[in-house]
Amino acid sequence: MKRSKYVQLSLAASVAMAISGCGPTEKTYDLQKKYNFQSVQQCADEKLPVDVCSDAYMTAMAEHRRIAPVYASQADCDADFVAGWCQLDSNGQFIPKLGGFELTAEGQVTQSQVDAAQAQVPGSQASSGGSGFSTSSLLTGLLIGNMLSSNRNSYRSEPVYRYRDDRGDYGSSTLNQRVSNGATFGRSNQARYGSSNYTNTLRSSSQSSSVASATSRGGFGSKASARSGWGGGGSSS
Amino acid sequence: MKKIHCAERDDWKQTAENLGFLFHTIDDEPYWDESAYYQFTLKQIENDLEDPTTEIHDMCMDLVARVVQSEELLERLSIPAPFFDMIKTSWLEGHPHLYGRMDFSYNGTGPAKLLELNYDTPTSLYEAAAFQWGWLEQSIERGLLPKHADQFNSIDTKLHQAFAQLQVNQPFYFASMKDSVEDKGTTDYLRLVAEKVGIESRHIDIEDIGLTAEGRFVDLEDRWIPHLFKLHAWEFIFHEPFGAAIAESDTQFFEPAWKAILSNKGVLPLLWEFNKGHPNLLAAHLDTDPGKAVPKGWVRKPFFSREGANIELQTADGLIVKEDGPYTDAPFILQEFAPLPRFGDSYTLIGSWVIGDQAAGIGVREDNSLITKDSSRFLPHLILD
Repeated sequence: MKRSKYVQLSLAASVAMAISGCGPTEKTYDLQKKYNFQSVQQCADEKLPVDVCSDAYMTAMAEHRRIAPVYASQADCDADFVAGWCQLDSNGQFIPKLGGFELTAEGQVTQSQVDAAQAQVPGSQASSGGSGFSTSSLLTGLLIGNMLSSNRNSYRSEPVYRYRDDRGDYGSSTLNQRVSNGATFGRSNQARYGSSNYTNTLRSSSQSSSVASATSRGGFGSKASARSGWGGGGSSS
Repeated sequence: MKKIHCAERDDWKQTAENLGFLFHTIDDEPYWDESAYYQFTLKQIENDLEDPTTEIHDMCMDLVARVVQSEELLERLSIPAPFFDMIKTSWLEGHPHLYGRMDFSYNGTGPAKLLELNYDTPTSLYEAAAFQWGWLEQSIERGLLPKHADQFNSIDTKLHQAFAQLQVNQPFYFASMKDSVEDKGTTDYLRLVAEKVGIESRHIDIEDIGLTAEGRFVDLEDRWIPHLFKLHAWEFIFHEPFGAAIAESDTQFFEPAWKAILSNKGVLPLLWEFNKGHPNLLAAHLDTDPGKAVPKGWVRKPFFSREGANIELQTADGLIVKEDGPYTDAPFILQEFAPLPRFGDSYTLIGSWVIGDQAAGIGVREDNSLITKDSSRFLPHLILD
C-alpha cells in the first residue's frame, strides 16, 4: 500500500487544542535550587543547558572582577581565603582566584512539564501529592534544565571562593555567605571601588541585574505584504 | 495516467467545512475539485514519479553542499552576502528540514520533467496529505471506487516520522502571514502532526513575532520562541528588518536557511549544469537579456516568483503566454519549455512531495492555462492497475 494507514483529517482539532491552552490554568510547582559549580563542565554534567552554564560562569567572572576583595599583600589575602589561592592582579595587588560559581535557579514548572520529564527518565518515581512533589535528582535536573531553557530570567549567578573557616576546614562559598557568617574582609583594600564599606558594595551587587527591555515587532512579513495581491497574498507556493 | 470524470460526494463541502478545510473554494472559484480524478498505474507512480523524485532530491542535496562552499555560486543565486555564513553554517551543522515539493510536467509516458522546486514554503499540503486521502477512503467505503484502489500518499505518515525525529521538547511555533487562510491551513495541519508526536505547538502570525533588545525572538507575551516554522520565504526575510538578527538568535528555523538555495529558480540552471542531460531535467540557463523576447520553445522565469507570476513562455509554434506580476526586480532564467499535458480543457501539473529526505506522495493541480497559478484547482488521484 502506498498510502498512509490512518490520517487525522480534522484541522479543527488543532484549533481546539489552541483554545484548550487558554482554559483552566494548570497546576504549577515552585522550584528552587542552589548549585555550587567549579566549572562549566560540572554544571553541564548536572543536565543543565550548556549555554546557561557558560552564561552563568561568564556572569560570575564579570562579578568577580568587580567585587573580589583586593589586598596589598599576599599574606593578607591568604588569611581571608586559602594559602596559595591568591594571585597578583594587573595593578600589583592580590586578589583571590575565582573558585567557581553559585547558580541559583528559581521559578515554576507546570504539571505537564513534570509529566513530560518523568516520561524521559525511565523508572523515575515522582510522588506528586499535596502541594509538592519529591523526585530523583536526575528528574530535578531535567525540570530545572527545562525551566532555565525556557526562561532565562529564572537564574542568578555569583562567584564563589575557596576559604578556610575558624576551625581550619576548607569551604567554598560566595562572599555574601561569608559576610552573613561574620567575615569582614577587614584587611582588604577596596580603594578601587571607592567604597568605604565593602559589605554594602557586596549587598548591592547581588541584586538581580535583569533589565526590562522593549521588544520590537513587525520586522517579519513586510516584503511579502508588499507583493500581496499576487500569489494569493501569502509568501508561500 | 487517465482523467476520469465522476460524481462528487454529495456531502463533501459539509465534510470539508466540518474538518476545518475552509479554502476548498477560493474567491467563489472551486479549489478542491472532485468532479474528476487522475488514475495512474503503479508502474507510472513508482518508476516515473517516485524514483525520479528521490533521485532529484539527492541531486539537490549534493548541489546545496557545493553551493554553500562557493561565494561565487551564492552570489549567482542573488543571495545577499551578509547571509552567506548563516546559510553555510545551517548546512554544515546539519540543521534539519521537514518538507519540499517538486513540480513536474508528466503525461503518463516518458520521463517526468522537473519544472521547479518549492523547497522553502510549499503549500497545498493538507489537501494532498489529508483531504485527498479521506476522499479515497470514503469513496471506497461508499462503494464508489474499487476496494483495491490505492494512492501515492504517505505524506502524513512521513511527516509524523520527521517531526518525531526532531526530538523537540520545547514549544514549537508555527507562523503564517496574517489573513492568508490557505497558508494557515498548511501551518495548522503541521501543528496537528507536531502535537500528535508530543510537541507543544503554538500559532503566531509572522507579523507578530517580536525581537527583544537582547536579540531573542519572542511571541506576543514575550515568551521565547525556541523553534519556529515560518511559512515565509527566506528571500523575503533576507530583506526584512529582523533578517539580520537571525544568525545570532537562539531560535531554530524551519525550513532551515540552506533551503534559500533550493527555493530560488536560479538553482535550476545549476542543477542542469551539474547534471547535464539527466532525463528528468530541462535545459536551463541564466537569462542575460530579459529585455528580449522569449525564444520559441523556452520559458522565462524570475528567480523569485510564486504562483506563476511574471512567467512568460513561447511555444514551439510561436504562441506567447504571459503572466504579469510583481517580481520584476530579480534576475531571470530561461528554461526549455515542457508543455503541461492537456486533459480536456485543462493543463495538468504534478506536485511531488519530499518529506524528510523521502519521496512521499503527489498532488495534482489543473489550470486553464499553460502557466499554473493560484487560481488552479486541486484534483485527487488514485492508483489502479
